Amino acid sequence: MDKDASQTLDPPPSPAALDAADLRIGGYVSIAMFAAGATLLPAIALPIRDMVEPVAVVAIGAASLGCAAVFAVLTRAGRISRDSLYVGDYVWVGVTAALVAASGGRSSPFFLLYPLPVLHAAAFQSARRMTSLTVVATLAFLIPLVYDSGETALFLAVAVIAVPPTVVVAWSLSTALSALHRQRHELAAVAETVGKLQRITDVTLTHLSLEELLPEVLERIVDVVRSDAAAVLIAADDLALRASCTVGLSGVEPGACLDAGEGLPGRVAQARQAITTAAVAEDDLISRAFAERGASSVVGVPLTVDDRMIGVLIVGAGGRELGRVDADLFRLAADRIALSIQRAQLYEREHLIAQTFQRSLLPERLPEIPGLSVAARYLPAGEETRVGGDWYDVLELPGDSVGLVMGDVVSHGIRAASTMGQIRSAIRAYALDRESPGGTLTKLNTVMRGLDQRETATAVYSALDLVKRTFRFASAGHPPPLVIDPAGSARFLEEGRSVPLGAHAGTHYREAVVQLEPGSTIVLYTDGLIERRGSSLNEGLERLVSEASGRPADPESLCDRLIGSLVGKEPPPDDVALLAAHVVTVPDERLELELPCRPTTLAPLRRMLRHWLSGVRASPVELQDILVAVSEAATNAIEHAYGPIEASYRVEGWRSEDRVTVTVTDSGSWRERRGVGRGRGTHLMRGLMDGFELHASGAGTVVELERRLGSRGAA
Amino acid sequence: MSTRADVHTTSYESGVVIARIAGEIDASNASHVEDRLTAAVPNSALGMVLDLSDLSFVDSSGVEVFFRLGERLEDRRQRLTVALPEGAPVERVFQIVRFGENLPLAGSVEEAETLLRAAPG
Repeated sequence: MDKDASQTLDPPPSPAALDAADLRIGGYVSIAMFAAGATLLPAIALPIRDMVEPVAVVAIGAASLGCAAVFAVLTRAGRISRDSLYVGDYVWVGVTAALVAASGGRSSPFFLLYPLPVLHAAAFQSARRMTSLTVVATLAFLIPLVYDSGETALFLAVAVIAVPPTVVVAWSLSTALSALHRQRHELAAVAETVGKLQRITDVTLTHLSLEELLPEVLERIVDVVRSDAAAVLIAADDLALRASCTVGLSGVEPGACLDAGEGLPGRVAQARQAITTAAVAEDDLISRAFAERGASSVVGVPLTVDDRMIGVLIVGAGGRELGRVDADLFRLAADRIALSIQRAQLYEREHLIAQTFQRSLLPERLPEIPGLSVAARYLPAGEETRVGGDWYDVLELPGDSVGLVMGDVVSHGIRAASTMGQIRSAIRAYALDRESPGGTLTKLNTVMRGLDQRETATAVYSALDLVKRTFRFASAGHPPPLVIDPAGSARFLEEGRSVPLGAHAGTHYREAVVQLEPGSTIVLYTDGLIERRGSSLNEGLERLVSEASGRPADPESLCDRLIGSLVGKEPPPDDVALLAAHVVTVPDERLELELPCRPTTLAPLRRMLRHWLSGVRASPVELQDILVAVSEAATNAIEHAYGPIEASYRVEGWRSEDRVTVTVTDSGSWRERRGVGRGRGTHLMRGLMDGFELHASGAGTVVELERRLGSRGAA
Repeated sequence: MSTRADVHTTSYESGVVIARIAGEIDASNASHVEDRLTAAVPNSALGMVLDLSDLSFVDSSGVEVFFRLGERLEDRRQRLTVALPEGAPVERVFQIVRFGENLPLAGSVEEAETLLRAAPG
């Protein structure tokens, strides 16, 4: 097949087509006619019983009842057709003729029954059939007259005169009735189309994302127009078409691509008009998929908005021919679908930009701060909602303090993300300038009031002094910080609260200070964590306290626990940001380790040392220097160990004032290591530490390493 | 958990072998690393570039491995150059042992490779 197989339009169907309901009515009328005939027969025959053959009356009555029964069976079974009604009408004429013959010919009152089938045919048959029936009925009517009078010439004369006006009357009557039929059907068809269109397109208003919109629309199209499969292809800039969604098709990968102008979809896109074709007529992957599905009739309609080609909608059916009515419906639906796709594309674009922008403003990695262990989580809201303006930050402040920030811009989308970026930068600037939390928020409020677009935000800004262990914070209308003490009991810090940022000009933001015990954990969060549909904010806060209480946990597992129990696995309805900071217990007691003299203990030794050193707030450089020096001393101790029983070495560490001292003790005698790099280990220990002492005695060797903290790196 | 170092070597047709070491080197795995590195340089090679950007810990045991490797290659008329970017975790150790005075030290693999090719013999 080639292009001839496809056409843009097909001929209109017979406008007066009767539907099943009409035929049933016809069936019931036939039943009534035959049943009434059988019932009335004795009533009419009785007064003229001397003119009637009783046997004939009984036979004809039985025949009528039989006909009524046949129609009753056919009608109930829904198998009544136009043809059976037509046959019934002729039977009626025949029965009437028999009756007239059996009841006195032209003086028979049964003449009156002749018009009935004619009226019946006028209602349910075409004009041509009705006309022929009328002619037959008229002739049948005339026969007894002639039979009785024996005047054939008169019969012919009457027939010639009577038939034409009868035909005219029958024809006009039938035509008028068909026109009425047609009108009723057209109205019904319009109502049906509107209904279908509505069912197809009302879904387009309720979904914002294409992923949800397209399958739903296609399912409805397939359902509403009784087709088998449908597909939407979305056009790229170069008019290549990409399969975005299919229903009822297999073998079409999402995203499968058709070149510009390729196959049926390509032709629809280029012609920008609906094309009806047989699936086998084309050899593109979409048409192939429709053919495999058994679709014998396929319609493609373009999806356009303001003359811009957005994509193509393809619908295929196997059992029936998709006609002009279907194509018209698809065209109407396509307009609405195209608008929805455009809206969804714009929305998704903005959503993506806002999301990318907002993510870029969150810290990629939290700073490693000696003495503090920090974890954070950010969960974007489910797809339906817009990008929120939640943010958090962890800042290393001058001195021994760390700044912890949590905030939530009230608006959504790109605007929120941009406001969030400005606030974040401003806080960083004030914080590095040693501004207090209250002062920072007061200044920030002025910044917010001066923004071009009026925005409000809630925020907590706090400075945590790791040496004094004080938590100084100010809250601008934000949910209260939570503090978990080392024993695991949690409470909210309700002090230091003021109105949201940007709410009133000239607000002075209060601040509060609490003294933390070593081992405490601070939790900052946005309202997304505690809000849940159908429960109050207070209930959310209570849930948070009860989930955070109990066994103290490290920040990472605390965050996991809180998200797991308060948010769950589903994307939350609103953005959720969460920050947990654990003040590492400063080990008051000395570090004391005893390890077997084996080289494999070196890695675990460094791990324990690293943990202890971060507890005493050694910086990353200091930590690395001490690790190397202790590793050197421990390697020497391990190499000294010779003997029948496994020896061990001891590592002790303590912090006093501004320095860390670590000693490594073994029971052997000091020897420089052998090999090319002799003395290099000692050289490294001296170079990396501020103090290196070697005490060797008969009982063993002690290496004492000392390093000042918080100043320049040694040597 | 013992000390772990991942040695990844790539030989190029130009005769240069690039060895990237990630992880930690101490007395427990120094000889293993040394064996891996030595085996990676065929006689036909021009020499080896050691990429230490991802080395997170090294003590004198590791430094000795590099010095010994350098000497061994020199005996075979081959060269060893080391790439150590500024700010690498092991930078301080290399400074203190004055590594650069014994072996050619560069800030990147490309520079180290250039040094290797530029060397006489």
